[in-house]
Amino acid sequence: MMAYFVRRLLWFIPSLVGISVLLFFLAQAGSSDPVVSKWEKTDLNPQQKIAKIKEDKQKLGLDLPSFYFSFHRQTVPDTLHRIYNSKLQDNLTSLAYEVGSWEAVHHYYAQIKKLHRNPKAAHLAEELLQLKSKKELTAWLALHENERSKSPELFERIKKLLAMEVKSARYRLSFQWNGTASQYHQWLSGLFFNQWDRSILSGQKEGKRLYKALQWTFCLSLLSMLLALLIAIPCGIQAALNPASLFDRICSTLFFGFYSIPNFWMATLLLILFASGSFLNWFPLYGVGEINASMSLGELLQIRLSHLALPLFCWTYGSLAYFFRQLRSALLIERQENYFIAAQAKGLSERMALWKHAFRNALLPLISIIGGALPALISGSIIIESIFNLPGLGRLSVEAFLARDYPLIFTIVLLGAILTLLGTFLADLAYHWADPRIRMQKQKA
Amino acid sequence: MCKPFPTFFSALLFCFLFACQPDNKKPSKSIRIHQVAEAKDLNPVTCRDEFSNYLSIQIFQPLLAFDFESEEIVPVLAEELPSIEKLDSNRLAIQYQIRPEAKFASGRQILAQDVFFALKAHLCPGVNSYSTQFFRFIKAFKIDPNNALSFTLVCENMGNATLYYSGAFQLLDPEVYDPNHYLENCSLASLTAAEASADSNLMAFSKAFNAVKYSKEIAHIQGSGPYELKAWEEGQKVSLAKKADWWGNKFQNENSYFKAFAQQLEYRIISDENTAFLAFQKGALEFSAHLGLQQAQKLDQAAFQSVRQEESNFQYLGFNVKANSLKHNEVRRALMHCLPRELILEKVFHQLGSLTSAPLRASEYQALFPDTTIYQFNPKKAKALLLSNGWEDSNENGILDRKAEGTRQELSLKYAYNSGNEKRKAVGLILKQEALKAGIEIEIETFDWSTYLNKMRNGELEIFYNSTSTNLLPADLSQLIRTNGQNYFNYYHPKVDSLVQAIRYEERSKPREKMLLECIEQIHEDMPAVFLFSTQKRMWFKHNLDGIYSAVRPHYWAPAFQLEQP
Repeated sequence: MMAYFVRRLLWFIPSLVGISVLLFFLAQAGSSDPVVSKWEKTDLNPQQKIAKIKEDKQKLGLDLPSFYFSFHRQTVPDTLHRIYNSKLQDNLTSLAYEVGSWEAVHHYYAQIKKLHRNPKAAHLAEELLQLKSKKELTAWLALHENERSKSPELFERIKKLLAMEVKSARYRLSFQWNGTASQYHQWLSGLFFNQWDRSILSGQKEGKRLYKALQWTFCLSLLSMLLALLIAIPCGIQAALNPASLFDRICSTLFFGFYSIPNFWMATLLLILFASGSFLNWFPLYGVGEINASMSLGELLQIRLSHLALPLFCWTYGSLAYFFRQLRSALLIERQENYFIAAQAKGLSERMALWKHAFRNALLPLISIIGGALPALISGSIIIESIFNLPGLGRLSVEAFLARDYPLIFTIVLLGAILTLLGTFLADLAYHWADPRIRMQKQKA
Repeated sequence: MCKPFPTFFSALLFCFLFACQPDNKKPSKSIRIHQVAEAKDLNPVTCRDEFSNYLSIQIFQPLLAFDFESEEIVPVLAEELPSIEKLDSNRLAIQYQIRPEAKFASGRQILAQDVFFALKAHLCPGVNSYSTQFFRFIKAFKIDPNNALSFTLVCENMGNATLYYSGAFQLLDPEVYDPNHYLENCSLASLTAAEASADSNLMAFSKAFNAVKYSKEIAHIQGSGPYELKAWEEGQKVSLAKKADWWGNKFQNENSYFKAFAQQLEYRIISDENTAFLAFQKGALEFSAHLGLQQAQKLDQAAFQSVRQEESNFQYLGFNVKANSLKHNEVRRALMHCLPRELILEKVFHQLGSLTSAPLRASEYQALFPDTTIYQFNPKKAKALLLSNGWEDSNENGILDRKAEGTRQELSLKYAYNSGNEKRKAVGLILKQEALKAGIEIEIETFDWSTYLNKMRNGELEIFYNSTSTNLLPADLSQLIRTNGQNYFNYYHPKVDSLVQAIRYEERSKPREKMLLECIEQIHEDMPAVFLFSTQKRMWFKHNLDGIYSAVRPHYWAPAFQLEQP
């Protein structure tokens, strides 16, 4: 049995590595570059922006190739990522593909850069940087032949390019070993060497901020899950004992009434009714409250509870209805089973038979749900956190996603992945405890 | 025997009743200001978001700044505006004198060497400074050997921006920000030299200076300004408290930077519009510049009032003049005729803006060029213009077409905006509807912000909506429209290029205005963009709150807020 769980634990490692590679390449495939976006929003001029982008990329290791190895066409150099403008990269690559030689395109590009430094001819350079095919180059040349004197070398280079025959180089793939000088390696080693939380945007380590946000989200999610279970289990059992009774109908109507209300609507409604002062002024409107060191435990608890009561309710009522329904249905099925009837025949009361025998079997669907819900402990609720102004992980994740702050996103998603794996593992353990038949099957396996 | 169900539900009810408690009472003398986003960094050299900058200018001070009242450049730590002497055709000597009363939070007098330190911190390679490039034009720093408060900057001539940028950086106390004296003996030249990034001293400084403690920790955020950071709860609030016996109190009649009446300022971060409105209505906030317009109309007019301020920007619809049909001038002009600017301002921007027909703020434009009839909304005229230039509706599908490169091409264009921006989307829909009347088909596409920026920069968009922020310096179009600037339009005109350059360096207002007019006329002729309007900001505050509202961003000077006693 132990060996089975150890094996499960060992599977964590390749799963996490797989997830990390997938995450990394999904981020790479993204259409925008966080460093470029960061500097694009500033008031610097284009040359200054390029200098800053270059500096930042070098500092963060984003000028390195993506992975330990790469494949590329022979017409594409392994240093292409050092051109910081993606459109320019595309244009030069397609030109190199057409003429079959990167070297020739490189010389042509060097001449364009030279031309760009001449203020009177900079517009020609700008135009050339937009071109990506021999056809476009031919048309451009015909249009600007009279401006040859501004850069005879460049015009010669263009003519040479146009005269070049397509070589087989463009069809051949070459393998490039990048080793540890790769972005993935940098990021992965950062995870182990205390750099996992370095933000691209601020350049600072954001671990403390992440930890604080995690604290609030984890605390609220856990409390909400516990509360949902603590209410749903007794109510579910009571409803299963007396199906179609007044209690069952009240619970079902109430919980499903709540369940059908979207949480953003419920949150707004609660704020208006209980916190705005327009109707009742029972709770604070937003935030987590201000505390100081001189406060007693009672005061501290009161401040926190008063601020968290409404968000906690919004966080809980959805899962409450779900847990209640699942448990009630499972118990109603178990009640029809022979072992339940036998237990009653042996003299156990219906309630005792339900608690002692049926409840354990009815827990199986609940265990699956709870195991699956474990990642939600850290994912938070963007809507509830925004409406109640809670400094949780949901808001932080949105900020990081909008800013393409990949190190932060990776860390949050990896935490989610770890909790998913842990959730399935714990669910396995719980099945093992709840149902002896599963234990036996595993032992046989 | 204890019954579990009733006991549990009783405990739950007890917790609920225990939790019933409205907001904590507001600290007396505190003014609570609504903010929608968190401050990121309170190091004045490395911060870049507007809110952080705004906070830092209340804690730290520059030599010069734009006054919130007069909207002109005024001396803050400088005793008076500096004297400027022309050394040669491209070099200026700017001589400053620091106020002898100026002191850092530690009580130490501010000297010329502290200004030198702040400048070096901005220019040091490796420091995450967003404004390094603005101060590179300062080539030498000379401290007067006979007066520790006097110094001279030798600068390249940056035209009309020279004076402002020579004193726009905020001063830092080297004893706090460089306790190891890494920068003490280095010169300006050594910071900008090619090998500077290999200098171990400079790298050690930048590593220490970029640390979180200078961005976020109360003990390490200290300046000469009227306020000190009292509390910072991330995602919740930032509190500033007025310094006791601040050295600048006696200058409060000079300019807005010395008007610091509020004893405590609390910036409350509330991102949700509805929650902020409820908090404002409940009296939990004194000031907000971020209330939703429709909600704010529900506010009790007797308890709250509002003020409108023109924002330092201009909005425009840009055309990529190299893209497909947009390379034809008549198509761009026709699109101009399809844009009902007044309607957009009324329906989409709820009249919060004023029209401009040039890359200038509306008030600046209206002062210089009172003629507002340059752009005429007239789809019929647009169609006539296209028909007279060879466009026709050959297949009678309502969309004009023309033969080009051997095939018939329909006049179909793409309008792009950044996703989530409903106003830009609405402008696109209006344009689409009106352009159709002129025989132009508009397809609307949306991209997330970063992709949108990338595509705009790479010239991959055809028609795009954009906004450019300006400051109060004389107009400088070099970024917007010059060949080597951002120039998202792919537009080039040698006359515009040379005029833009000349406007930048012309100090006399009359010749500058004449050149500006000439430049704008050429831009109107070539129509790489249709300029729309400058937006206005509406700010709401409690009836008894007295304050200073201004064209200087963020359009209010919070330290001057005072709550009049009812």
